[in-house]
Amino acid sequence: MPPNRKVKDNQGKYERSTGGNVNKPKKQTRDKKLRAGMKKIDDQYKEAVSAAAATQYLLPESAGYLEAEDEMEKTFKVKQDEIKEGVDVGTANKALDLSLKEFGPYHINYSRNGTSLLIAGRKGHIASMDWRKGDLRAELNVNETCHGATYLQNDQFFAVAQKKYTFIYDHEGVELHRLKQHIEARHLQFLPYHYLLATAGETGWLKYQDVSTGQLVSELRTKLGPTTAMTQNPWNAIMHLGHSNGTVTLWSPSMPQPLVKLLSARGPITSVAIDRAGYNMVTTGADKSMKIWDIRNFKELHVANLPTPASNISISDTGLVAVSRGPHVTIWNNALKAGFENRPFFGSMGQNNRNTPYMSHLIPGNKINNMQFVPFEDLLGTGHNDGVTNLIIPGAGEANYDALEINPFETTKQRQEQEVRTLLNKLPADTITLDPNVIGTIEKNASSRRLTAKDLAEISNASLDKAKFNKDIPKIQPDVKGKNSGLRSFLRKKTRNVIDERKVRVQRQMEKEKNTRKRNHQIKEGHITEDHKDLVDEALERFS
Amino acid sequence: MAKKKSRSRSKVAKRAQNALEIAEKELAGNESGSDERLDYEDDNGHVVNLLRKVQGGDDEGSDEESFEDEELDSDEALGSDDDFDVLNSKMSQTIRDRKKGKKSLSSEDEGGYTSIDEADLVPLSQVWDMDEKDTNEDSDGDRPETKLQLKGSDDEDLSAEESSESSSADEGDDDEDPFDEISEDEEDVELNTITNDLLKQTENKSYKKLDNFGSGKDSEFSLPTGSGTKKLNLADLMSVVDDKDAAANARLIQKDTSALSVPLPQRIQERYNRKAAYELSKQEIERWQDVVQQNRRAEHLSFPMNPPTEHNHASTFTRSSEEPKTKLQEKVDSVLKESNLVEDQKNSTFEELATAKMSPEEMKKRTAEVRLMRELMFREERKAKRLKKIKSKAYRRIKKKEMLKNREMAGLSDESDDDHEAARARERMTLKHRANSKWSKDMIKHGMANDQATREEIEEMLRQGERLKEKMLDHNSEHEDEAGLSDIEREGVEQESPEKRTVGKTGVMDMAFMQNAAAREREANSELIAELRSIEGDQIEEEESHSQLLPEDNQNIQINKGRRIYIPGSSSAKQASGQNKADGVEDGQIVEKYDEPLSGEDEAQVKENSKSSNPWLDGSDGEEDVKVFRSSKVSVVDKDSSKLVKSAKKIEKASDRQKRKSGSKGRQDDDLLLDLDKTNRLQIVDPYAGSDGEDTGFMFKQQSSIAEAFAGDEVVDQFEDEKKRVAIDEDDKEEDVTLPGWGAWAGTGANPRKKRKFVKKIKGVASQDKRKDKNLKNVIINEKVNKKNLKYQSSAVPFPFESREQYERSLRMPLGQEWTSRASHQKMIKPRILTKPSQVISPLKAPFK
Repeated sequence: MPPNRKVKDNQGKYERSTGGNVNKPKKQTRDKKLRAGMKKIDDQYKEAVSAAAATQYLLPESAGYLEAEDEMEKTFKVKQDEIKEGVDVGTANKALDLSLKEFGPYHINYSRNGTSLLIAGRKGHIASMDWRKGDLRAELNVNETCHGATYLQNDQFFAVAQKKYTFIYDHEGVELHRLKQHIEARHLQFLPYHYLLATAGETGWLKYQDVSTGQLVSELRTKLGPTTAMTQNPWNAIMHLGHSNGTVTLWSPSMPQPLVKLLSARGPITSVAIDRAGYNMVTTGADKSMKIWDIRNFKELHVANLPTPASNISISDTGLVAVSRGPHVTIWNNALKAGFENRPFFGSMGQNNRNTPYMSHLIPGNKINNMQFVPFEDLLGTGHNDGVTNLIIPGAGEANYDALEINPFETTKQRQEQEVRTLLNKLPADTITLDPNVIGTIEKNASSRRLTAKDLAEISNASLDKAKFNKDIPKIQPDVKGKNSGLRSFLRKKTRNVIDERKVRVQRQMEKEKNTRKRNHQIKEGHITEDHKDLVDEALERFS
Repeated sequence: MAKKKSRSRSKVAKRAQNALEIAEKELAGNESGSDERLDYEDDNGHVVNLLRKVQGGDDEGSDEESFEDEELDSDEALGSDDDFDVLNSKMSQTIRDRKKGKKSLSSEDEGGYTSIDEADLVPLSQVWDMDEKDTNEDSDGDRPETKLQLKGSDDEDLSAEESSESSSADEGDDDEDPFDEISEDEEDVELNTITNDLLKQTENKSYKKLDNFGSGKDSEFSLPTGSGTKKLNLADLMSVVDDKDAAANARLIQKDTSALSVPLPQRIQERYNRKAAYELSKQEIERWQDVVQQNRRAEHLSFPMNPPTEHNHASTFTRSSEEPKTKLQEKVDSVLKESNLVEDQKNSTFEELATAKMSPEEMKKRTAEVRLMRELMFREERKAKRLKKIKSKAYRRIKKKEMLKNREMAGLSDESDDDHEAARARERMTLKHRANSKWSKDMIKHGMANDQATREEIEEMLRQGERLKEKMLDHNSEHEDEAGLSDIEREGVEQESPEKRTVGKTGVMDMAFMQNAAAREREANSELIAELRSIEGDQIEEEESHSQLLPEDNQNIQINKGRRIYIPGSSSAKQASGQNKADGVEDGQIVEKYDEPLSGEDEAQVKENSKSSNPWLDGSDGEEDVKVFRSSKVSVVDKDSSKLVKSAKKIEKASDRQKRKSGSKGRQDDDLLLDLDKTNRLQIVDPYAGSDGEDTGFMFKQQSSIAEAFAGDEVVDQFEDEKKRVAIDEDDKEEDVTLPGWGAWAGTGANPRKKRKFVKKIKGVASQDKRKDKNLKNVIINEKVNKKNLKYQSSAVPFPFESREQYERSLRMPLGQEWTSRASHQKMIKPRILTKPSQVISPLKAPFK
């Protein structure tokens, strides 16, 4: 351990713990080698944490929010036009507003690094573009209803949930695959670390397709009718499905039953969203309710009642919660935190400690179909009946990006290398569990102590004893008479295509036996008498 | 033992008797040679000669001289060399045999001094033995006489005994004499037995004779002498053996010759051997333990283990290796070496140069000194050239004469040297100095040793050999060593003595310039002597001697003030050098010119040095100095320090205290803040509690109507039902497998017994009490185990870890670069063993060699 290492202030942020029992005072082992090994591991861990904490100064960017100057001023009253005037030209230009009135309402999807935008109009208009440059890569009209679209591992491929099937297109809009198992999908989600495309829709089936191998990894029947909402937990790749009976179910491809079932609304779930860290889930129901869950321990944090049923929810990287109701978009800050003061409200109603909306927006005479915060940007993309609009939401984007993970400025080469790297690091679908940390650990039911040879012997003895106790009961064996005979086995042994004199004799013998058996059987049955003679046979016998 | 003793006594008696006889005969024969004879006997009493003498008793006058010669010859020619003893003995034996034959013949012919009765009857082959027997018989007859004699004259006996002891021809000497008993007990014995005994005896005799023969001295090479005095045993032989181990191992010879224990069975012996070998190998291996352990504990090992550090060569034109590889490189190398471009630059760095350590003043002085030396040398050279050019024959003649004279005086003639060398070479070539040369051996063998000339030559050779060996054997070395310094000194003294000077008034040597030259030479000599003395007197460092050689370097000693040199010769040497200075006209003056001011400067320098370099001395006086050098952390305030310092210290202390206080306060504030935060955060708000109380906002007036609208769906009830159902389904179940009437008696008189319950317990997924969602509202958690996930989990605690906690602690830190900093990621994934491709990994080297 280097002596010059000192505990950094921010080190707590980088500490890790697996389970609760790691940091409790541990008993010193007698095994010297093990002790040395544990010490080495601990030192390594501490060093790594310290080094990680030391890298924080490399992240100088901080997210800033819109701030009110006095109590009377409310940030949610600031309009987009005012913000556009206030911000720099570059940011203002990013406030994209595509007016596509013909094929709406539009579903939007930003790629993981935020460079590309995929839009899919309900009436079949699909377009993939580099939205910052205004560079349209692919545009096609499939002439059928499109319900959802998503980019796959990068902006080179995208999947579109169309009227009946789901299709995969490449960056130029060429149709690559028609996923015929994914029927009537309404929601698409791509799990980037597992290369899985998950679809759910009218049929009530959740299907996982591995896009790297093309296999259908698993098909799960929800038994809860059409899926009304769907999202993924970015932390553990669990799919959260919303159903019409107000429940939210959590699915892993390796379990046929839902891992968890939550009752989140009295009516159908309209939308589900989970924050980046996988701590919180926000659901909205048709019963005009909005619920914020802590999904680490499945407790409800907040319940909010909305004036009208919400159609969409989105959570930004910084934890802003955007809710759309018809033409309205309302955004809360700190809504994911515990505490009454963080509970989202629409108005203060004369009380000071209310979490009033951070921002709100209205697109009059319109209906927002779909929302997504743009990665690494202070923008909220909305797809609505008349096209696509980006709203400027200060403080929505993650200020510091990890280029090893997602690089918003990646070049073609980097993209290609990243693709290869992610393919190499692809996780099997089996590894999706509610708590990904259990992978590599010891089974829950196993002994928490290493079994000695004595223990193992006891176990094996016990099993032997069991076998011994049941010894007096004879094993049931089917009473089947073997059909084998000496002649048969001889014939079988003889090479098939070699016909010699002996074989011919054996065959004749067998034929004879067969005939006598048949005859005996017939006599027994009473078809013929014992002294029956077939005249025809006798007559023909001379020729044989 | 008693028997032995008596036997030996009889022997002694016989010998004495024999000696007596011989002595009588001798006396009768010649009186003059008796002295000499005794001498001879002392050396090695050859009875051969004695017998001859006896023989020639009649004509002794004529034979006397030749006999003497012969005696001398054999002695001198073969010398006292050990090699010759053997040769001598052999030769003498052959001679003796011959003589014996003669003697027996003579005795037959004349019947001179013994009377033998049956001698004629005995066959010739047994003549010698018979002869012996006769003598024995005679001696037996004479025994009473000898005894008497023994008692009477001791001194004579002793001398006689000595002589007889060493004599090989002493026929009376025998251990077992069957004739003694036979003759005494019974006179008439069968001849057969006697002959048999005699035959036996002959065998013994011949052996004994050989045994008894030998020279007077005991040595490992000579045969053991007299049987009575000393008996050779194995221990004596062992004393000669050089190999100590062998001597220690010779168990039989050692005193404690107890019976050897029975050797262990081979199997057990081998086991012991293995055990010992194991111990040895264990020790050997234990020496490796440290290295092996170190390598085992090391986090990373990179092979090759200790690679030679490769320095980056600055340019591509410098070679990476020292040895030239190509021919061109070799050529360049050789050229560089010739021009001294390579080595000098590399070998002496600036720091290593002596001049680098000098102060500028010293440097100046040094250069001046060197310049002076060069000047002097140049002058000398010029002078020599001039002298060489002189063509005057007279001058040359005088010069030559002078040189010769000088040489003579030095005691080395020009010719003698060469002669000596030549003689030595000749000697070595001819190998004349070797006494046991082939030639001399031949001479002795063929009896030419008797020849006067030959013998002289051999003697000369021996002497020559001795002379040559003299130096090697280091006889005169002490004398020669002494002749070193003192001689020259004495010479100098002698030369200076006035008598010598006045001896030769005329001649070249008395001319002024010659005298001057001589004086100069003497001076040089004395100087050299002084130097040598000083070196001899103590181990002076080279520098010192150098400094004495160079008179200006005296201040070197001055610099080191506290250093005194106690050398007995040094003071005189200094004086001598001082004198030298005074004598040398130009040298001294030049030196003295810049000697004094420099020394003054040096003193000043020394003072400065002492001031700056002695931190203990100047600590008290300079206050400001102390301040400067004191570190802010460690400051010493004591009684001696001034008021200013003290007060400053006080102020500092006070401020420190305040700071500390404020710091703690700040910390406390921080704590408070933290506490507040904690309370804030720990407030747990029941989400429904708030909604119940304050939900009645004007915007949500229709809430109840909404509830009504969805009332028909009964979603909540359904969910609750489901939850219950799931809980029951997944709970442990009990199944009653009792068959009614099974094992029970029916009918009249059957007493209704207690119902035996056959309950089968089916373990469910999770018992109702332990469900995770037990206390959670609106949540159903699936308790079933995801079997597909199990393969990513360990079924038991893996080996090195002892508990789940330890194992999971080891998994805490992900290795991926996405989760850690770059450095720690690379450190964590660094393999334990790193090898360089194409590098040979040599086996572990023993570090303890």
